[in-house]
Amino acid sequence: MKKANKYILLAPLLLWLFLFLVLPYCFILTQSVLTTDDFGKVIYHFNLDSYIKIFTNPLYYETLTRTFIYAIIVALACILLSLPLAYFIAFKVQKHKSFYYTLIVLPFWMSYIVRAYAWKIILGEQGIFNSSLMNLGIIDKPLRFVLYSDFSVILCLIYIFLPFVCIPIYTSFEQISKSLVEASKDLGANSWKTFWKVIFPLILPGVISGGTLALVLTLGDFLAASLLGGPNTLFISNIVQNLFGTSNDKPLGSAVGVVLLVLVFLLLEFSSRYEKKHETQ
Amino acid sequence: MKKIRAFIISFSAFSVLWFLYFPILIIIWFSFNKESVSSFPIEHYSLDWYVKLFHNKSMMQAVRISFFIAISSTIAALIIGIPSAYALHKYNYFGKNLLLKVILLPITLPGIVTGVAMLSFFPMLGIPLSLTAVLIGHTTFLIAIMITQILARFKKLDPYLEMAAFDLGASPLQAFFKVILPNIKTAIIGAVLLSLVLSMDEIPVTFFLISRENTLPIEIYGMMRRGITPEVNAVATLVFLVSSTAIFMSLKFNKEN
Amino acid sequence: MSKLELKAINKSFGSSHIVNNLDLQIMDGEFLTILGPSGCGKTTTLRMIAGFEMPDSGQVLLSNQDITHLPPYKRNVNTVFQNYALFPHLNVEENIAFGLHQLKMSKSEINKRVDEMLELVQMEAFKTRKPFEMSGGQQQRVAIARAIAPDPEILLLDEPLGALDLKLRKQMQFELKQLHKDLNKTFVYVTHDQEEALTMSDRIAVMNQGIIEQLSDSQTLYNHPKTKFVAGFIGEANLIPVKTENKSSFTFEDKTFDFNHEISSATAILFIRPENVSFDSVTNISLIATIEDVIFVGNHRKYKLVTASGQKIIKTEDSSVALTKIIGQSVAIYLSPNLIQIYNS
Repeated sequence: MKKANKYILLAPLLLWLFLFLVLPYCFILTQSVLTTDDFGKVIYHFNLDSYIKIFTNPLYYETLTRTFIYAIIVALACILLSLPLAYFIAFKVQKHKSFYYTLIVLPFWMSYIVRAYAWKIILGEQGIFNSSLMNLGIIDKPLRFVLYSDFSVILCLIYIFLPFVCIPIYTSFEQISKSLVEASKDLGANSWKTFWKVIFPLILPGVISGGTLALVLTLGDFLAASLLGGPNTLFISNIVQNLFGTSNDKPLGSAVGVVLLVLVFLLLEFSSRYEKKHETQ
Repeated sequence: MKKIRAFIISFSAFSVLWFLYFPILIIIWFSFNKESVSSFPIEHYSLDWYVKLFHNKSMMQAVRISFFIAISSTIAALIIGIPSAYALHKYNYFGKNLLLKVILLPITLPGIVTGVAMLSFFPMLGIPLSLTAVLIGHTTFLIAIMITQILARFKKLDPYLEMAAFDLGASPLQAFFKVILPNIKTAIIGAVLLSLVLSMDEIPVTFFLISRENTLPIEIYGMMRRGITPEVNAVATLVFLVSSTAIFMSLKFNKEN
Repeated sequence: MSKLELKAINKSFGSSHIVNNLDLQIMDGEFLTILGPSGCGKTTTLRMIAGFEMPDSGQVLLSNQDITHLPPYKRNVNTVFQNYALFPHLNVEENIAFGLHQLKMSKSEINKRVDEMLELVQMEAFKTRKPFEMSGGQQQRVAIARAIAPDPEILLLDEPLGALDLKLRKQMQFELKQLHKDLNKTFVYVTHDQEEALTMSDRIAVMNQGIIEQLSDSQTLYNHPKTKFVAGFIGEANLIPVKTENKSSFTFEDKTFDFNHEISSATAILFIRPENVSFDSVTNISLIATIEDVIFVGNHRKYKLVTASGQKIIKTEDSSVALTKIIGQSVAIYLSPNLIQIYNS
């Protein structure tokens, strides 16, 4: 078995990734320290203007902060919603576990667009939400803020990322052996205590993993805001979207992208360090 | 007390499930609405919008393009992914862990970052914004899917099978096609189905790499931004049905291992 | 004429020197077993014959041809693996035919050969079964048939019976031995089970820490083990520390015994099989021991004896001999000089 095979087999992959992945990422880094001329064309004049702009102009750093806060809200909401569902399937379902698991997994693979669109229908002025509330007499005018606002975007994101968070939490519930719960009860802890002292610490890695995923996904999302957001709704990724689109400032866009990248890497690094530290399996 | 708690848990769990599926059911329901305004409740039902869909030229074109991109990029990802997964499983390389992380970057990082990176750099390679660029973009992240899925299958494969094949006179190439490939077949099929679905749904990277011809999700995205037309409901319903069928099949294939 | 020759083979993995300057000649048509404990290098040696490992130095010669650096698919050598390694996606017939496809045989020739092999291992009824539909023993037979079908010059067997239960193992040992006789092919067998080795082999190479300690037939190995390790590894052994007086005698329990030996050190290890320890009439020059325990082991019984200095000695005796001793009794034992070996300690 020739030793050359070892490298020949991997060569196409290495070439592909280098040309189409590594170089583009490196280029973005480079582009972030360049500028544009008056016509929007990128010129090779090195400077840190873009980065300075990001940290001094409130438009950028406030959007970044706001997006991050929204991301935390989305993550927390997803975790809270996932917990009962994951717990239920892991502990309360005996026979059709795989069926329920498929139910969680299925939306995970479905068209993002389709799932976001549903909220347009539901939250519209004549949509189900408003119509039902009006029919029930709770309100007499359609609530305008439910659609085309930050609220609708956050709601949509929670909806779309829920399966992403539920799956790792479910997996960590599943890995808890029943005998641990029995041992805890045997030693005198009631169900509530058992949950907090035995179960919760063991599912924490799954919770952190899922939560980090929701954070990263929200930070990188521009679609929900553009579909369901109002005129004032601006997420950090929308800024990137604009800068590479209508505003045409590629260096600045790249710089924001790099900041986003660094943020994502930091989150992932913290998350994996935490998981390594609390490895129980 | 115990029963109340059990009830609360079940109720919460089912509420969340309902929350997950309710919007989808709404879309399907409304796709049969005769009226163009999505008011509630529905007065008349019809299949008009489905019919209108098939007459929508740009929509059909987008479907064709999406199929083309999905199939081509899946094939490209297979060609690059299978030998790579084999090599990564069999040999040790300097920097192997780093390589694995790089392969996963299109999935780890937000699509928008990958999209703008490619948008900026591809022209330097002589690749303009076009379907070619989209194809390359899709292939790049499908490679990650292929390698992850196939590598996982390789780990479960009996290492003695390849040895037995060599022992009985098969060259490495023969052993690969006669013994290894048949035993990772189901993983490949599962990965292919997954790739097709993901490609047909991809937006962030595609958004930055297309020029004039739209893929299906981009076309739908455009329609959605313009307003709510029930045609979109019909498309959405069809997409849901096709995706879920494909995913069901993919999950079934993976379970058979 | 040697069928296979290993010359000065060395193999290391990292800092572990697994096979140490090994020389081995295997005769045409013989059933040779490489016997040794885990980690002694026997499997690595077998893999170097098969071609899955290459020696760091030395040569592997098959019928005088140097195959040292040939890949396994170019060697006319086939292996029966411990976990069978049957191809799960092929049925029995297709598994057996696998090696034949590489030999450019015609379809009818292949079919004929496959049927021959099925008959040989008595698996005709399983022709179209898939591996997962068969038991371990059945899979093992198919694995054997598959390895023999291409008519290799040597058949290698890597602990093939390890995963089978005792009764099945004994039956397969018998069948393999029969197969060897019928086929008249060179078999190289690897095992850690010394009973298995003794039953089946023409010659046994006892390996320990990368070297062959002794290469002989079963009887010689059993009765005249060359080293302390071989003595202890094959069958049961009494290994008794003694003091050497001069070149012709040793002392034990303050008694001197004549024995022609060539041990240079002041102390040595005396070896005698439990069945060769005999009860004697008490004289003032005989060895005295106390019976600590008598254990009934089915077809024989075991006496656990202990001498005045606390040395434990095991004696075995056929159950058909009348039991005349009791626990706690003092007895005289006799160690026949013909049945003793002395080793460096």
